[in-house]
Amino acid sequence: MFEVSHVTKRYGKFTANNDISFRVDDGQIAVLLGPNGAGKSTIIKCIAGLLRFEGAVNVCGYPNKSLEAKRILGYIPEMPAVYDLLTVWEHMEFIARAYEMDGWEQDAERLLARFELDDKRQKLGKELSKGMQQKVSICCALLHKPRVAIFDEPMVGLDPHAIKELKDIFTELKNDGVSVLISTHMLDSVEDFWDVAHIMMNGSFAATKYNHVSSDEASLEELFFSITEAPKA
Amino acid sequence: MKALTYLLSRIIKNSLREFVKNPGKIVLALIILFGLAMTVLSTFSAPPLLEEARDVKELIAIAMLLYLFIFLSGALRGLSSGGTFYSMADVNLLFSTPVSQNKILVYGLIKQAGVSLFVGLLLIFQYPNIRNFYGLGPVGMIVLLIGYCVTMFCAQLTAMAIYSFTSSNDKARKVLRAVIYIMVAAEVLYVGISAYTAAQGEPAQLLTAGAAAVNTLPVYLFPIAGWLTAAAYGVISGALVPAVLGCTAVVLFSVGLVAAVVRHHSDFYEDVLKATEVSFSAITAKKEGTVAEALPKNIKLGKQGLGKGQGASAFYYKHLVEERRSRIFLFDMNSLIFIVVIIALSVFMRKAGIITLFISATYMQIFSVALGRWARELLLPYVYLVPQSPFRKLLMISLENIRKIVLEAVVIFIPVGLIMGLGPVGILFVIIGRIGYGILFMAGNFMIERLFGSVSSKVLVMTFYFIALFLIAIPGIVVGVLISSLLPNASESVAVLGTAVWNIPVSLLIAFLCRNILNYAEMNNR
Repeated sequence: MFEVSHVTKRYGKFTANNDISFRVDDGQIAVLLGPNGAGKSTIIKCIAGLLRFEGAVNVCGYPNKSLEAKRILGYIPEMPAVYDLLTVWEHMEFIARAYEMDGWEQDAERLLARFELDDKRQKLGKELSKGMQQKVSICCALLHKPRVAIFDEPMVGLDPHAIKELKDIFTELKNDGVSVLISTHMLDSVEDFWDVAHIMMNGSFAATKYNHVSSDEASLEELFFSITEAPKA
Repeated sequence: MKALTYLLSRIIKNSLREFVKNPGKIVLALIILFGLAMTVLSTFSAPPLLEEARDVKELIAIAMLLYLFIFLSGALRGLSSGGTFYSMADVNLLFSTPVSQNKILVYGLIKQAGVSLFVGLLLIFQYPNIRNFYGLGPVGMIVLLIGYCVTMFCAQLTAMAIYSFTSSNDKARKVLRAVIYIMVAAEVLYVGISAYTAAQGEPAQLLTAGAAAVNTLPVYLFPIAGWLTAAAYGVISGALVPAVLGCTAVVLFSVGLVAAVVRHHSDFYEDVLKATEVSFSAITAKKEGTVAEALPKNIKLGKQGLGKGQGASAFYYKHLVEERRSRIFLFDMNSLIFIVVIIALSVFMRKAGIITLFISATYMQIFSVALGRWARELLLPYVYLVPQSPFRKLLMISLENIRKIVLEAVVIFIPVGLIMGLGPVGILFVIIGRIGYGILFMAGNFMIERLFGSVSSKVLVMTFYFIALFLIAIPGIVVGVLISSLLPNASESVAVLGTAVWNIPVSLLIAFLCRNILNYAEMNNR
């Protein structure tokens, strides 16, 4: 599990995240929804330890900047993160070495095969299309088997096969007890498996909805548009 | 034309407005202006460094080399992606409007002329060297500057025309490429043979003979670079004929190219599309902080796999693999250019002494260090995510750059030392001095990340970086001057060594104080 407590992130006078608190339990999939500029990517980067912020983020009880937290965290960035001059397989080797893993080869093979990258093992990062780079990013983030996985717009640029595969992976992670956080614009892409949805507006949570309520409640889509397209007071 | 004048005036107005609102940019502009003013003032207030000015033909030869390099590197793009005067917004918005293509071409030419002029202004920083060595007055400097701007402009125009006429004809492209290469090879052969014959086997005379060979009709006939060199020589030395002929040839060539593109191949939109996309991705990469690495066209994979490294050291072994794939000989393209330029400069600056050359080399080193692999590592998330101590990670991502700094220092200063007659001890001293500055610049980068890691303005951060580097380097310079003045008969290389006495310990101290930057820094996506 991981817990975000009163996180505020400012860029000069602009507040990107304002006093955000929430937690994602083991085996739970939380989604962050919101229009462009709502602050979704910022809070995800704060959780990943890439930005400074006020407040606290604990990953399985450890502060997010601690080595213990880093060991169990997987982060898939919005922009694919690949090295131009490493081959696809060398990305896997690098991650395995950096995380001091043993016997990683089979897992790497399996991940690459799932994302149809097994025949691209010897391709350099710079030779890959944006979608393929995104697949490599996902494989890098999942290779060390994180207990907490955070995805920032993971489906952008992916082909239909990879999207299907990624959706299966979300479910598998959930079944394995991993805490999953997904930021996305695409409401329909997460409708099958989300447990809790947080709708963000102007850097704050405007609403939180759980996926086990009665049918007379507004759907996720209805709630989203009622918040994001509400007439301004 | 109304839409285009509106667009141009709006771009200028909004750029000015944005500039006024941005304190970082104002500070940077003031620093550049102050630097330019100081450069010009100090040049005129101080007596020339050399009692007797060197032959101006040497300077004209250098200008020819510069013009030729800029013209060829720009024009040859016409054989691959083409040249462009346009931004992606122009392509997407302007090209689809019912505005005449010819007017859009004029708009592009005006924009390009503005860019060329702005870049050329920065050449003024070289004025002190030019005046000190060649006694060139302000008019001469302006002439060289205009030549530089016109070369840049013509290079883009030629690239566009070449692409326009050859993009759909593979054979024409091959023939044109061969013609250009043969012309360059013929010029090089001509200058080489003429210089060798005139020098009569005397190595000391080769430079003078080479400069004389460049200042002859066969070289002046080379399109654009040769014509502009002839014009510049004509104006500087008061010879009317080459000045008039050179200028006329350039004007006729440019007007002819524009007319040819417009008349025979009026649909130039497709021709500039690819080049615009290429420059757009480069600009986007720059904005995102991911300055594209200068890589060889065909990268050889070579041995695959990192092979070694566990934890933080995996970064070092990864860097070694990347470095092997990016280099051409022993170094990557950027370093190779810096090395060749410094060694070439040492030939011209033999009499000026090692300190003058060392200053120029150190100035270039600032950029070479900032482009290091360790700095690129800060742009991707892995270095922040990997569960290792931040200090170990910092050390490991710096190690490859330190190795490169040492190797570069040796490769540069052994030949430079031999050319300038330093002797083994002198060479060793300047190598240590060079390593000292390399490490200092890296430490300066760490400090800036530590102090301004969360500042989003790239301009502001760069301004602070240069001010901070300047301040940290001053004590080293003082130490160098003191050591050389306290030791009787000390050579200039002792002063260079003296700077390292300050630079190396203070760099280590800064690195230690910034040991946790990877915990405090924000992922650098400026």
